[in-house]
Amino acid sequence: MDKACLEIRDLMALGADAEPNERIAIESHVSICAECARELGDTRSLLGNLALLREGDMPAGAAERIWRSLQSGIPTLKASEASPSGPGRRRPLFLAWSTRVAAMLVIGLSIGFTVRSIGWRHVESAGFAEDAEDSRPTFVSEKHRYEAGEGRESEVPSTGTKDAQTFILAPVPAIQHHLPLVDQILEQGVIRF
Amino acid sequence: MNAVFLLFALSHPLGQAESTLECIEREVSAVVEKARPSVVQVIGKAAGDGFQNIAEPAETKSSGFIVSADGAILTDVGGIRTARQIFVLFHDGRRLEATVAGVDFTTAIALLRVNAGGLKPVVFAEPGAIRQGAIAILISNPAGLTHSSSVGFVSGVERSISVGGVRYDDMLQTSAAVQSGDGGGLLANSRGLAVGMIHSRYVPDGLNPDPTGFLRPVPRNGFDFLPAGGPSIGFATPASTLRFVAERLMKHGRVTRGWAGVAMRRATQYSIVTEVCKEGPAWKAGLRKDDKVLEFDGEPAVNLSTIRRKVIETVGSKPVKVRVLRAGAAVDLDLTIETEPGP
Repeated sequence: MDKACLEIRDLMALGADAEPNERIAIESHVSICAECARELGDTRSLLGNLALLREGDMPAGAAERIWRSLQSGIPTLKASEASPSGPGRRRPLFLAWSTRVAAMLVIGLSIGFTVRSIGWRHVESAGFAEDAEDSRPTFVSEKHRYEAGEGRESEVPSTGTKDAQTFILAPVPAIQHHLPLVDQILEQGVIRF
Repeated sequence: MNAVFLLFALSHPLGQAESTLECIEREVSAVVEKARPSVVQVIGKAAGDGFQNIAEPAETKSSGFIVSADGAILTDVGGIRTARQIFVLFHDGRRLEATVAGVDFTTAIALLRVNAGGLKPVVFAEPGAIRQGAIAILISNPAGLTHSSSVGFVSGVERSISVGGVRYDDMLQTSAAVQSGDGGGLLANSRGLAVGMIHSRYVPDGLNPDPTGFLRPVPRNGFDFLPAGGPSIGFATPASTLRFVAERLMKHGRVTRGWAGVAMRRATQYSIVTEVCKEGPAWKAGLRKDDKVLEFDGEPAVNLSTIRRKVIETVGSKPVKVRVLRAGAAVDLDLTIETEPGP
């Protein structure tokens, strides 16, 4: 594994937080590196599985149990391995593969549980609480998004819940027609080279 | 003269003279017909397997155009940034899968490759042929409506804009109706030659696009609503930049540029240095802020676009003479253009 591979593995570890140019760098690299392409495939399938976990309720005490078992499994780190490699970003490469999987599992479950709780409060504050008949945490439904005039183009796949509501975090269009917006017209006549 | 009149009469059997509007209509239609086969719709399919950010759409549609008969296509990077799979839709309905052959983030241009031959590439206009007031015909895919056309003017040249916090210099401004989905679209002149590629648009105050790209009425002063879908100003990357980037990407898969490390503003007879990059080539040559540059590489320093083009197209190191005015006297400085450092 050369230096380029190591850098790309760092970017892969960012997952969905990777910047657009970082994503293109990853894609460019994996098109010529079979080993990194395999690693990327593994990461994606893992993240895909974790994403599914958001639909379920987290059993009481599950996070604590997993975290305890994790703590026993984490090897003692050498000082050199533990130091962060770049400004503001951690390098999780020192973790063994199995440990990384377990850590992401805990994070995924925790985020999923937290997000659902926040979503429930959000619906109440938006005045749609009367539709949430039972105590299940609920996100803004597709119906309500239409009423609010949002997400007209969205084709969000249904998750098959009993009241046919689509649980999403924000109105994301299924199809986006690309054209960036200028955020500032700069002083004219000044040219850099 | 008689022969010309006879030819004119034969082409108008009813003896009715063609009006100016009819003439313009015919010319515009001819240009659209000529350039349309070179324009494609670029469809980027997102990951959809968990790697995709939840805030990203499943599919992004943008525009692009063919730059070589063997399947090289230029498009805007933004349209494919989240794509796992890229497809290109041609004017004849063919839909082919494309791969990314190279990306230049400085100009936000990507080069795609499709496995096809006998395609019709665009012909780039010469830089001198692009001037303010020239007719600009846009062929693109607004809101997914493939191979649409719109007519306007080149309403400004050498514009500097910021998109997403990134500075873009030497851009064209157009009054052609630029909409969502036009990113990467072809801006052609009255002869059907490519003058630019649609880069971005500026939406004036009061019209805020929603996340889907639609403009909505925004209340002003309480009850005063502006209509949705108002005019916006389009910006395009000029043909000279496109040709340079396309050539480098096709040859090397990446773009390296020459760099002087200086910013200048044009005055009447000279240019004024507004910024100098510390320890850059200009700094090392002794150029400083507020210097008045009379000549750059033997040419009067008034056409900054031409100078900029020469500098960025320089391969490797190249020494040039820079004549500046200091305390009423002309001073010659030796500047060595270097390769621009990477991001």
